[in-house]
Amino acid sequence: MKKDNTKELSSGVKQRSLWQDAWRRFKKNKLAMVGLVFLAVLVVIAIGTIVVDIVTNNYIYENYVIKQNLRGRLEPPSAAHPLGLDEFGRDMLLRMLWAVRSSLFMGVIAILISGVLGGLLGAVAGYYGNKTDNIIMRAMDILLAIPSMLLAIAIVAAFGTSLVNVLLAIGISYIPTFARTVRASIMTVKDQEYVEAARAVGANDATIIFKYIIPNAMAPIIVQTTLGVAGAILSIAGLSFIGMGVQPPTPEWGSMLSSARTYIRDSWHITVIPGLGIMLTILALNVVGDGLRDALDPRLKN
Amino acid sequence: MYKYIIKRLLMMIPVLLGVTFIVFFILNVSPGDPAAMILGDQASAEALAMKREELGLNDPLLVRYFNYIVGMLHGDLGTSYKNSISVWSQVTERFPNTAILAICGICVALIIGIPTGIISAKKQYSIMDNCSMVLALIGVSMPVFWLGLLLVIVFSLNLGWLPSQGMGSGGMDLVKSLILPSITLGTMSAATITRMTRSSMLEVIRQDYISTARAKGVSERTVTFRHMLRNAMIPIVTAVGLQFGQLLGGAMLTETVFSWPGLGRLMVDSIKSKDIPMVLGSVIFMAVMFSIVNLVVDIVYAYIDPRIKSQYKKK
Repeated sequence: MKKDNTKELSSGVKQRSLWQDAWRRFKKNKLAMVGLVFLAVLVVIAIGTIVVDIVTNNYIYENYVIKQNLRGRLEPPSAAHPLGLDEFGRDMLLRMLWAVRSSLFMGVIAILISGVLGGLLGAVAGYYGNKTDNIIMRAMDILLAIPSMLLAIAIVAAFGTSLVNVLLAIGISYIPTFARTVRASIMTVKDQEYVEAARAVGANDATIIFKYIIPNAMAPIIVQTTLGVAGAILSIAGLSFIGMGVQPPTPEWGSMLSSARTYIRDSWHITVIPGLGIMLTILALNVVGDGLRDALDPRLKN
Repeated sequence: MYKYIIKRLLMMIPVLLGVTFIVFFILNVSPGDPAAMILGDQASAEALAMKREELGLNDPLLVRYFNYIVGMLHGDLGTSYKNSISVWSQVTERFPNTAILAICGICVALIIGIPTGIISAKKQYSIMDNCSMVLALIGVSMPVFWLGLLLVIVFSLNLGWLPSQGMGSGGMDLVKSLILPSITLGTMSAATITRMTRSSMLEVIRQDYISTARAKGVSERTVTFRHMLRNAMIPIVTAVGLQFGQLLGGAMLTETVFSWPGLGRLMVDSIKSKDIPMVLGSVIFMAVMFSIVNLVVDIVYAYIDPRIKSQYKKK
């Protein structure tokens, strides 16, 4: 305890940035750290499978991940196949590993789409206020009045189940959430003295928004992004489950569950395992999101 | 109060027009010729042209939207491409099933969520609090359809207590068939409501008027329910309202898992058979229902919180 105090004092002489401060607080939150490590492992798996595919020229992907082997259908977990075999005799462990990248990258890309578009709309609305604000936010209200899953389904139904459409569908349905978050945080920052100072110096609107306002309004946006990725991954899995997202034989947790449903009477492992994958990923994202919120804005904590 | 309700009703009109237009637009600019879909591949060019004229596909989009809205107000959402059944009759036939499911789901969520949240807040950092917070965290992270499948494995296939598919007709059968889908649908909302109740109770719990009430000798029960809960209720009601939107999305997945004959499954089936009018009708119907639920939530809001009412009276 004493040791820590002296350390803090000595390092307190150096100025710490907001981010270093936040990181120190985040590190103290064990649950959030576990979540972060889990996410890091997922990213490594996702990149690892891509590297393996490139190095082996898709050999493993084609011969083990998607190739059917009807002899070992629905085999329960064993030493040779720790997670068992699925309904077409494919190794569940390999399929689970290869599924990570679709969920993770699609979730992130979808949220990037909504983050950029929603963020921009929110920033413009919050900064200019008045009429601009009114028009943009009423449009967002309308978009928000359609449950996101419904909107996504309408888009996929109209334009077909391609990867791009699914990403766009999920991305668009999260735009209003981001627009609202960004707008709210910009409205709290925009009347601060340093923004006024920048304006007095003659900075133009774009500079003020991107250099002075956004960096200072970043905290809630980061939290929203983490939670948004969790929501997007769930939505993608949901769409795949009803056959409107990632199509088989590409491994994806939602579509794996969808085909497992047919064999639910015969074996439980092909139903339980993909769901666990989704749940743990979402859990990690939620825990990290909560941790980030507490770390970035200590006032919010209880 | 009436003034407030009327004002909210008027405000709903542009939102509804916007919502219906977005959905209408998305589903009408989709590639593919509906006439060809109805008549099949062998149809002659003239027959296709005639069908297109009949369906009004040659009109500009805005005109078609206008006609659609006028039709909707008369209870006409067009006819299905697949079997020429009236969309309106299908949608209204299926909707009550989804409504029952959604209401039972929200009941499950409230019955679990609010008491757990209250107890967690009153005994903050106790074992009970920690356990329920961990469970709530798991609850918000679980995909709805996976939970449904797990419940089916345990309660239908292994224990054989409850049916795994379909909707029972009347009495005990209906209740039995409702249990698993409602739990499936309600769990995520229950978790969200638990967390919301806990945090808004915690905000209220340390206020001075709570100490005052206790000092006056008010019983703990009255303090909890009249002084704390009433004041903590506003964010909770908001959360419940928002959950309805989630629930409608979740209903689609839950209905798929349990083969529940609701609007969500109608939608999923129609998308698979490319039956655009059916998809359009059911999506619009659901979106309108969602807006109405939000309106009701806002009115309940004003009822719970006298401040909103008085704010309005002053104007």
